[in-house]
Amino acid sequence: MKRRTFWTGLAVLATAALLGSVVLIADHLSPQKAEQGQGRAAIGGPFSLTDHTGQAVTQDILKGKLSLVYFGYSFCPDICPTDLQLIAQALDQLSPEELADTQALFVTIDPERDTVTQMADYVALFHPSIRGLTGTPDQIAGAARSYRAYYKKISAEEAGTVDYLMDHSAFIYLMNRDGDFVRVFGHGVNPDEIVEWIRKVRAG
Amino acid sequence: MRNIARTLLISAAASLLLAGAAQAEISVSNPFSRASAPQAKAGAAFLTLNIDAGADKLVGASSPVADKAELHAHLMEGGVARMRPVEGGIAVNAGTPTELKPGGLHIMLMGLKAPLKQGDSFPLTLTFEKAGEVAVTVPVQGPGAMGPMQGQDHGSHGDHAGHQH
Repeated sequence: MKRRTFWTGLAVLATAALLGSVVLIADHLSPQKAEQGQGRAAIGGPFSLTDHTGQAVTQDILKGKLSLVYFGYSFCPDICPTDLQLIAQALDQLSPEELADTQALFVTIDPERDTVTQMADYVALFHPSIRGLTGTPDQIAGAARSYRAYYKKISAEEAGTVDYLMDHSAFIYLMNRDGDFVRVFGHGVNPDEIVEWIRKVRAG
Repeated sequence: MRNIARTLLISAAASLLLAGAAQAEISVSNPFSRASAPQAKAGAAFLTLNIDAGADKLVGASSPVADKAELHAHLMEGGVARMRPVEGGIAVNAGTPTELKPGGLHIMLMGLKAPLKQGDSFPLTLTFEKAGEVAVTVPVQGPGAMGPMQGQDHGSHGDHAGHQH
């Protein structure tokens, strides 16, 4: 009986912890939250990276265009291609005018493997309006900090695989023309929803 | 494109029949993979497994296109994607198809020897605990394909597979 109480208690605690973390994450990502706090967005900020053509870029590339920002890695065979495809599908639905006003940034969290050439090859698979961004490990860490993107290298030994893997948060951030955070979309979002929001933001 | 895919599926089925003649209870359907970048080192194969009676376990895979094929699962926890090898194999039980699909289980191809090109196909050997080896031909779809027999868009970027909401 005592044992059962213990396990029930543990289950309750675990559930509470899980719910708590979901609430925390939801709160952390809520656009309302981003719009509060002295006009400073909770997500987004400075970065210094290299794009897939080898050009050095900063957060200034966000200015004047709507941007979809996604952190992932090219070695990822499942989650990242799915989300990049959703982004490509959203971009494909835009009118030429809307498309000229919109860009997508794929920021690698695996700079070790994702060289400039690798990024160029990879983004080309999906859409011409997707810009691949890489950098030094420090630069990537800085960009991820700005966007509160989470990533962690899992060594081959730890993972029990032939090559190392990366854990990473899989969110698509929509940023406005000022480079400020508007909204986040989760993994597997319907591209129609992205299009709807792009149009909403463009309509001002 | 549709015809090519159909032919590939038929050849996949034929190779299955040949390989699985002694142990006919495992069937593999809807195999597909995604096109990779020219220098990509990794890819994935997705498919559905069925067994007509009893249970078996997919314990390994291999393909001449990659140094190694591993059984992987993707877990999404609080928006964080974690990919890990599957411990102890993937169970296949009669009456319930076991789907290896984007966002869940997949066969991870590590150390690709050549890029996977859309429209091509490659051989994959699945190893089951009881049934032994089963050969499959895996057609390569678009880079973000969510299922087989799609990707009929011949545009230079992205097919429109996967829009299943």
